[in-house]
Amino acid sequence: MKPKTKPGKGKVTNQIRRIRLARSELTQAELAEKVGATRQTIIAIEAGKYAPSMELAFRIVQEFGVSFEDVFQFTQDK
Amino acid sequence: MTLVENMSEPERRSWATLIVDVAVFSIFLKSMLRNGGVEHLSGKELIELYILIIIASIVLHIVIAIVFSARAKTSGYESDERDLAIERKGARNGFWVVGTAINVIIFMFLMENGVSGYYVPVPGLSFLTPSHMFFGLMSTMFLGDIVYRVTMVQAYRRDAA
Repeated sequence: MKPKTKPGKGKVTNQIRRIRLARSELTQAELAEKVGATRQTIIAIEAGKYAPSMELAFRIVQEFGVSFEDVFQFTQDK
Repeated sequence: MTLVENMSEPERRSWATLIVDVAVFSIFLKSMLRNGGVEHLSGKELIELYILIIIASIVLHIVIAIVFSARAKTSGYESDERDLAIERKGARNGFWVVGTAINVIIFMFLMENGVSGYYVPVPGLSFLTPSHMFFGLMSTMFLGDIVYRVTMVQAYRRDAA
C-alpha cells in the first residue's frame, strides 16, 4: 500500500498593486469600492497579509479584465 | 494621514470599545480591591456595584453604537469580509478565555469546598465567599471582552503595518 503524500505548504502571492497602477493609476480606494471591499482590505491583500475569499478574488480579477493566474499565483514550498 | 484617519471604522470602533471596557473594568477593580486583596462586600453592596457596572457598560456601549451608526450612515461604510473574519477571530479568542477562566473557578471552588485543607493558590482569595466569587466571575466577563477587542485591534494593526 502506497503511503499517502500530503501536499506541501505553499504561498499565495498577487500582482494586484502592479496591475492596478498599470491600469489608469487606479487607487486602492477606487479598487475597493469597485469590488465591494474596504481600502484597508485592499492594502492588506496587496501586502500579502490577508488572503481574499474566492468571491473577492474573482471580483478583483473581473475588475482588471485579465486571467486569474495573472493576478494570483501559488508557489508550493519544496 | 494620521494613524486614526488611516484606520477603518470597525478598527476605530474596536479601539473605542476596548478603551471603554478597560475603563469600566478599572472602576470595578478599584471598588473591589483593597490592601492587595479582594474586599469583603455585603450582599447589598455587591448588588449595587453590579447594577452600577452593568448600567455603565450598557450606556457607554449604546453611545458607541449610536456614534458609529451615525458615522456609517453619513460615510456609507459597510463591513467587508475581512472585518467579519477579524471579528470572528476576536470572538473565538474571547470565548476561550471565558471558558478557561470559568472552568478554573469551578475547579478551585470544588477543591476548596470538597478537599480539606485546600486553599486557592492566590493569597487572600477564596471562592467560598460571595465577594470573591463575584470578583472572579465579573473579572472573567471583562477579561473575555478585553481579549476579544485586543485580538481585533492586533489583527488590524498587523495588517496595517
